[in-house]
Amino acid sequence: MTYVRYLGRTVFRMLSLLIAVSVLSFVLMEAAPIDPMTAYIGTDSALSEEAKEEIAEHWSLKDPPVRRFAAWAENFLQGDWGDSITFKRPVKTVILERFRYSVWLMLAAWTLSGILGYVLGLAAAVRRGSLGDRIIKTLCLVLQSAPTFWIGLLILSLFAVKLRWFPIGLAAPMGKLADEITLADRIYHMILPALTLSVLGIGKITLYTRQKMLEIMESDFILFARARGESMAQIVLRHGIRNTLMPAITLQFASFSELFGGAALAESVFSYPGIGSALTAAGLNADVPLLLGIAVFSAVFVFAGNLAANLLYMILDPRIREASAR
Amino acid sequence: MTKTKVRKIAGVLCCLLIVGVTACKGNEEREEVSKADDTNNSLVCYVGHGFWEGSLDPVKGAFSYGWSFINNALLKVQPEGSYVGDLAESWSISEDALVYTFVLKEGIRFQDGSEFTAEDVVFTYETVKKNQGENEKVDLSKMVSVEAEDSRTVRITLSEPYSPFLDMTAQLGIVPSDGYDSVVFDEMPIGTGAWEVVQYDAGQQLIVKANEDYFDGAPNISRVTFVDMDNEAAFSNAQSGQLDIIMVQPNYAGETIEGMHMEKLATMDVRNVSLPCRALQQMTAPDGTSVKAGNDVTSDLEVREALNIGIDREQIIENAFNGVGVPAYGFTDNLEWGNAPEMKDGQIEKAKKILEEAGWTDEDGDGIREKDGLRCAFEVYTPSDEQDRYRLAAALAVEAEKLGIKITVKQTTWDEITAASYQAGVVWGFGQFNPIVLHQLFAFETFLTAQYANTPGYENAETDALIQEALDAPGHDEAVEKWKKVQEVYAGEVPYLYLVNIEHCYFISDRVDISKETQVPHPHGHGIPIICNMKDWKLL
Repeated sequence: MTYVRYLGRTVFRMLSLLIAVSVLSFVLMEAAPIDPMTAYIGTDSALSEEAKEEIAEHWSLKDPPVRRFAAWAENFLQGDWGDSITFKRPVKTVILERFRYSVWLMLAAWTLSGILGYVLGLAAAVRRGSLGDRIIKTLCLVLQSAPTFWIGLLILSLFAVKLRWFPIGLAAPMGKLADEITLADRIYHMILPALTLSVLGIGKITLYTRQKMLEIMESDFILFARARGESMAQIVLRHGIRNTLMPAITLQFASFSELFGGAALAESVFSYPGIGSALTAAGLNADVPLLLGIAVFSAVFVFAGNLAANLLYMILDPRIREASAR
Repeated sequence: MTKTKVRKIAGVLCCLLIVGVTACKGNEEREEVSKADDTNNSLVCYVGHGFWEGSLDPVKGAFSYGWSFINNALLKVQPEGSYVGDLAESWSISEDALVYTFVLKEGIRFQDGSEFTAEDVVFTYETVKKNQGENEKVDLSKMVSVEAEDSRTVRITLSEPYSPFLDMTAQLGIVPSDGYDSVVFDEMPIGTGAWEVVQYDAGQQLIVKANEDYFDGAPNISRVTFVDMDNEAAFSNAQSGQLDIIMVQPNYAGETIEGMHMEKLATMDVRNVSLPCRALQQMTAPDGTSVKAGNDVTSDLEVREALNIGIDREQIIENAFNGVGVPAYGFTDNLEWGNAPEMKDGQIEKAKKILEEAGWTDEDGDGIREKDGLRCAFEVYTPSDEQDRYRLAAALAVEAEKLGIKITVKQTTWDEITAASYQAGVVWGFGQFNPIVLHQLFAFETFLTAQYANTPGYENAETDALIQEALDAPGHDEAVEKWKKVQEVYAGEVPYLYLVNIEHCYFISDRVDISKETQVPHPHGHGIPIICNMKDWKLL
């Protein structure tokens, strides 16, 4: 019964979120000082007025905003996401095509930042005040405050341009056919953008884990464990991880939104053909259907991340499981 | 004890890093090998960001530049700017200028093996007409009907005489009526052209291969890859030897890349600044809205004249574009209908004299002239996403100041520029084969009706009559004559201050010959036009 209620509440929250996101995106797009017609035909076009009329009609550029939004929403609910005026292709096709690239990038960055951040956080806390701890802490604070695209540019110019260890841009070798491209090619092209993107999350998770671990290290049960003669390794394994992993996982799942935003920047720095570049193009060209499509899509994605965090909590932590079952 | 633990962790991390790096190195070597394998007869090119993101379907406006690539149009433009038959063998226009008859070439096949006939032309034109909303490049709104007289003859009927229709027929690539699929053609269009799509990853790369059966002779190069990235990434890639052709902005003109040389290619792209010709007043647009239009400074013909002859265009180009570009006084000679006046600029003294005689003198000694208390100052707008236009306006302002005219340069969005365009100068860029642009810029009927058209509010009965005669002309040559006259008439009134004819800069690998003599003048839109004659390119 409670699960049903939980499910119902979740679905309700998700729907209200989606409605809010789409309405807000639409309003922002309407308020933006971009004329979709100009973005579409350019300023040097000599199209006749008749042709412009037909274009406006085809892409419903002249209808009042409320009617346009209603039409979009109606089609969207029926599974038709509309056509992108920028790419002249169905929005769904564009999103899926681009997301194929982004999803692996985000997944890699997310995993990397989670594992590395957590390990670094633990290590720093265990050796509190040491040189290593100070380096990790400073580095995290720097990474945390540095903009993603700036880090991306540094990484690009060092590893790709200067050292030439990695390719400059794209998700596959130039000129290689799809069936010739190996997994290694794809990974090779993904390393730098994924590294850049993981830097975004690493600082937060490290600092958080370190802080949490420090609290635990000062608690009475650790004192007791020490008194029992447990080694540091045993303390970390038996008590540290058990008490810090859950919050870290939650934090990591909750960072889906930053991941999405960061991906857009990392992709543009590395000319990676993911969803970020499509989003930028949609914004600059006042491509309402594509922008709304991506907004809704990303909202679902982020919502799923947060939901996963909640569910994991329930599954992994018996205290919460019992509390919610009660 | 704990210290060793940390060391172990650090050690493991270091190992991971080393493994990662060596793995990458191994990869790099492998890539070089594969590159050496197929560099024999293939190229990798960068011709600009964003060309390879949308649909490749000519029905939806792809490749409508006037030259052929994957698909051929009925006509095509030639290096000297005139038209020649591409899929059409010959064409004729009826006396009343309403019926265009095209006789098609024989024995041409599409890349899927099917034969090219009049049916395909009819199908293509009808499909575009039906879906005009999806094609913002080829305007068929004046077309009433298109019929196949026989398998080799197509008759197109217009609703009214409209000479620029002929230019449109050079812009619409023909698709096969049987094989056409509006979804498939977004990525894999089939045409009669010299190049066949092998693979298209939107936003990443387009790979084309030579059509060995191309009716106009098979290309010399067998495979070409176009990559999509930003200008800086492309430049870095070129520096590391990954690219054979790369488009660059004029500010890169001073750079060098090993194994590549710089080419500046001629365009028909001119940059000009609109100068409102009417005194500031409240006007009513045909749709009933009230618009504030005009400018009290630029409406003075002497001010416009003084600017036209007084500024030094060479100097402006030097300051704005590193010297890349050619001074422009009108539409360029490489257009069939282009007719720029013969004139000399940089005549500062003469310009000053004109201004003084017109009553513009510097009374308060601040270097800027006044007349009846009105400062000789106006604003020029540039779009914030185009730095080159901003640089151009800033360089113009420097030259104008020498004459005692103050230009304030503003950078903003096109939306705000549109609102300001009737009262201030705007830096425009124009460059297309179709002379219809003259109607848009100089016909009074477009003022306040069409956006970006005749923003100076230029009004001249003789010009309007000539434009109408050009549109109604029953033949292409007659139309060209009229269009040339139009330019003679407005030249003295300077509604637009022409500044520069852009040149497109590319770095070309020393092993590639891009056949400069068969390049057509590049239209507006830096980058892609270099591939207009890719069929003629050779490896040295």
